[in-house]
Amino acid sequence: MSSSKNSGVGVAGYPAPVESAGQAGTVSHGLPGSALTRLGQDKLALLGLVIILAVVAVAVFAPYLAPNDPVKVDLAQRLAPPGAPYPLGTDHLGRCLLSRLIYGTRVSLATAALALSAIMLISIPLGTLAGYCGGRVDSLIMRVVDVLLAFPGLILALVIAGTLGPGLLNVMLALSLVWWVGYARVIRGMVLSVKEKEFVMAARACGTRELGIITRHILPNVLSPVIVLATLDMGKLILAISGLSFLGLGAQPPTPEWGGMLNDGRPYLQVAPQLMVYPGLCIMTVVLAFNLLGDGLRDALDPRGSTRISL
Amino acid sequence: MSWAPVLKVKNLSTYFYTRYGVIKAVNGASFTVAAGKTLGLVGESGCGKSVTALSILRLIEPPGRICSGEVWLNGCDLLKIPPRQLRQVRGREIALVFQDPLTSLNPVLTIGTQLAETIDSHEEISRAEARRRAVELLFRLGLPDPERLMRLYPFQLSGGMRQRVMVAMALALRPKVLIADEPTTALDVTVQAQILAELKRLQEELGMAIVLITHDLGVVAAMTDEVAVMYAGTIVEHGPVAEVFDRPAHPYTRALLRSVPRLGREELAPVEGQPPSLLNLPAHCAFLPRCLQAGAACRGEKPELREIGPGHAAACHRLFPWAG
Amino acid sequence: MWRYVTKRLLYLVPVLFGVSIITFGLINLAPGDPAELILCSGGVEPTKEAVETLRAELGLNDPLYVQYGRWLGKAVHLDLGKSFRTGRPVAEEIFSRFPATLELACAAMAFMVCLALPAGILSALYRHAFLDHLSRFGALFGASLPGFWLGLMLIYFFAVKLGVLPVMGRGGLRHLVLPAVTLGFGLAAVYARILRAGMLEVLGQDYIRVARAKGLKEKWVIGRHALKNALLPAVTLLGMSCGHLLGGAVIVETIFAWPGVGKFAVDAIFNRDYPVIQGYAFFMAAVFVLVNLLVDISYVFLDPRIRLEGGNSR
Repeated sequence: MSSSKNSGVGVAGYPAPVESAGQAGTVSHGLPGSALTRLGQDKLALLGLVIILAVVAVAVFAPYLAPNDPVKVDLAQRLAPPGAPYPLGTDHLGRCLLSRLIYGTRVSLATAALALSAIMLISIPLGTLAGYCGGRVDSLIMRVVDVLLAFPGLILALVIAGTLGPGLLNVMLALSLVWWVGYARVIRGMVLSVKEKEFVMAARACGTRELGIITRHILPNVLSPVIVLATLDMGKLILAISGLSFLGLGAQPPTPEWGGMLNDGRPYLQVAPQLMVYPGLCIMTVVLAFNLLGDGLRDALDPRGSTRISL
Repeated sequence: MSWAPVLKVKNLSTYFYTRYGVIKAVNGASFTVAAGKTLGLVGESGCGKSVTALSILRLIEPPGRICSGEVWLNGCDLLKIPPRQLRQVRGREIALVFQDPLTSLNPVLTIGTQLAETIDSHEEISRAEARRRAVELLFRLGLPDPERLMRLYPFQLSGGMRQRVMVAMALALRPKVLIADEPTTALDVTVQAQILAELKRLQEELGMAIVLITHDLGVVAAMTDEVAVMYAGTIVEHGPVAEVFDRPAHPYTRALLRSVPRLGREELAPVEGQPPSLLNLPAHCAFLPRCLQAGAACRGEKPELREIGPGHAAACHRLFPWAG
Repeated sequence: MWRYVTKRLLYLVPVLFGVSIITFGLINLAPGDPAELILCSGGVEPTKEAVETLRAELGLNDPLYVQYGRWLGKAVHLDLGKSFRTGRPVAEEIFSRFPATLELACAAMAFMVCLALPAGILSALYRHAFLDHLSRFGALFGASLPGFWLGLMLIYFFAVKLGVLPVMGRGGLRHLVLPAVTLGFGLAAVYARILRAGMLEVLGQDYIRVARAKGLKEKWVIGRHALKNALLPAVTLLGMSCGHLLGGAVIVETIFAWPGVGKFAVDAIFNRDYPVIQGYAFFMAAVFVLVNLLVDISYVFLDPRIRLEGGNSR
C-alpha cells in the first residue's frame, strides 16, 4: 500500500489531490493555486465572502445608503415603531435605527481592522525575533507571552480598557495588547521550522546577511498564511469589541456602534424589542460571514486540519 | 484435509463514491479458500487487495459501498445477514490482522483490556476468566511475561510484539478464516520471518484457512498453497502456487514474476507502465495498455476468469483465442 | 509522572511573578493621581495638602520598585488593599462574590457538556444525516452569536413574553437557567465542532476497524474505543475555555444582575475603584493558572502515553 497510515482505505491507489499544499509551517507563498481552487468549491466560504464584500460596500457607501442622519436626535419621535421616515423605527432618543445600523458597519469593521493591524505590528516582529534568534531573546519574549497567557484574555482586555477609561481607542489598544500573544507563538513556531529548511541553509551558506535572510527568505514564507488566517480572526475581534462596547467601555455616545446600541436599547426591551433584535443580527451576520470564510480558508490551506491558529 | 472451500467470494464489487467520481476499488473479484489452506492474494499497491479484505467483513465505510457480490462462509452470505448476526461472525468465525500493528491497537487501552474484550464479547464468561484466557493466548504466541504484558499499553511494545498481540487477538476465538492484510510489511525482516512461522504453526494447530494479502512474492512462495493475482480490482489469475509460479498464464502474472529478483538471474524487468486509474476503468481488459501480448480481441469486453488447468484459472483473451 | 507535576508547579513561580508585575503595573495606566481619586470619591474637591498627605500615607512618593515590593508583600498574604468605594478589604469582597461566579461557570460548563457531547458524537456517527446538518448549523451559529445578545433574546422570550423564568439576581435553580445557557451556548458550539472532528478522525483509525472486526458491540466500539480517544483533544482545551467562561461571565453577570465577581469588577471600573480592578485581575489570573494546572495534570492521567513516559518509562 502506498500509505502506511491507512492500511485499509481503498482510495490509496488513487492519486489523492487533497494531500498537496500548505501543511503546518510549510513553504507556501500565500494561497497556493490548489488551495484557491478548493476554496472556490466551498459554497459556504463563498457565501461568507459575498456577505463580507456586501458589508464592506455598505460601510463605504453608508452616507448614500442611510435614509437619515444617524446621530440626529428627535425626541418627539423617540421609540417610534418601524414606519415611513424611519424604516426600522427609532431609538430612545428618536434617532433612526436603520441609519445607525448602516453607519455601525463602519465602526465595527474599522475598529476590528485597526486592532488587527496593531496585533500584527506587535506579533510579527516579536514572533520572528523569538523564533530566529532563539536563546535569551527567545526565552525573554516567550516568558512575556506565558505571563500574558496566564490571564484569561477577555478579562485582561477588560481590565486594561477599564483602567485606561472608556473609549474605542482604549478598547482597541487593550485588545491588541492581549491578542498578539497567540500570533507571536504561532509565528515563532513557523519561523523555527522554516529556519531549518534547505533554502535558508543555502542562503546562509552563500553569505547572505541575517537581515536579508529574515526579510527575503523567512518572512515571506511565514507571513502570508498568518495574515490570511488572521484576517479571518476579524469575527472574533468584532465580537470582543462589541462586547466591551456593550459593557459601556467601547464606543461612546453618540457614535453608532452595534454593541453600544444593544446596551442603549436594553431598558426598552419590552416596548421596543427591535432595538435589540437588529443590532444583534448585524453582529451575528458579520461574525458568521468571517467564520464561514475563515473555516473555508483554513480547510483549503490545510486539508487535514493540523494547523490551528486560535486564541 | 479436504479441499472444500470454507470461504467463497463471488463477483465482489466495492466502489468509492468520491466527488471526483466513482473509484472502482474492487471490481468483480472472485476467489475461494479451502479449509486449513492458505491463499495468497497478490498485486501492486492500490489494486484493491485491502479493500477486498475489508469488504469480506463488511467494514467498508462511506463514501465506500459494497455494490454487489457474495461472500459465503458457513453456508451464509456475509453480505446479506443482519448486523447482529454479522457481529457474531466477526472475530469468531473470521478474523482480520492489519498491516500496521501500531495503529491497529487502541493507544489508550491496555493490551489486556483489548484482548479480553475480544473474548468476552463473544462468550458468556467472567472478566477474570477472559483475562486468564488472554494470558494463555499471549503465552502461546511466545510472548515473554504475559501477565505483565497484559497491563502494558501498545506504545510500550516493540513492533514485532505488537503484531504478535494482534495475531493473538485475531486468533482468540479460533476463527475458521484469518485474513492477514500485509501482516509483516511494517516489520523488520527477521521479525517478519518469526511472525510468519508463528502463523504457520498456529494454522496447523487450529486448522484455519488464511487469506494472506501481500505484495511480496517470496512470502507467497514460502507460505501459501494457492495464489490469486489481483489487478485493478479483479482477480486475473488463480491457482495452486507451484502451478501459477511455474506456468504463469496471465501476462500480468508473468510480468510480476519477472520483476522479482531471483538468484542466478541477471536482469530485473519491472512491470512497464502505470497501474490504471480506478476512476475511469476501461470496458476492456484493464491490463491492455501495459500488455505486451495484446491482440484485437483484447479491445472487446473484459475477459472472464476461465479454467486453464486443474484448479488453475486466468482471465485473458489471448489464452482462449477461440472464445473472443 | 511526579517529575512532570513538580516541573509544572515550579514553572508557576515565574509566571505568577510576571502576573503580579502586570497587575501592579495596571494602576499606572490609569489617568490621574490615585490619591486625588480617593479623595474625589467623597464628592468634594480636595485641597493640595490633603492630597500630599494621602500620597505620603499611601507611599506613592516612593520609587516604583519599592511600591511594588510593598504591594507584592501584602498580596502574598492575600492583602489586596481596600476598596476606594466601600473601604472594605478587596480580597474579602472578591471572596464573598466568587462562589456566585463559580456556580454560574460550573452550570454553564455542565450545560455545555450536556449539549456538546451528544451533538458532537451523534453528528460524527450520523455524518451527513439530518441530525449532523442540524448540529453543524447550530454550532456555526452558536460560534457567531454574541453572548450578550443571546442573553437579551432569552430574557425577551422566556421572561418578558412567556414569563416562565426569572431574569434578575441569584436564587434557586430557576435563576440559574438563563445565565448558564447564555454563558455555555457559545462554548457548546465550539466543543460540538471539536468533538465531531475528533470523533471523525478517530472513527477513521485502524483500531476502530479492528474493534469492529473483532465483533465488538457497536456501543463498545463507540463508548470504549472511540470516545476516549476523541475526548483527549477536547480535554486539553478545557483550561482555555475556563478563561472564556470567566471572561464571558462578566457580561452575563451584568445582563442578569448576577452578584458575582464579574459584575463587581464592571462596577469597579465605572467607579474607578482601582484596588478592586487590580485585585480582580490578580485573582482571576490565579484562578485561571490553577485551573490550567489541574487540566494538565488530569490530562496526564487520561493519556497513558504521557503518564508512563514521564516517570518510569521502560
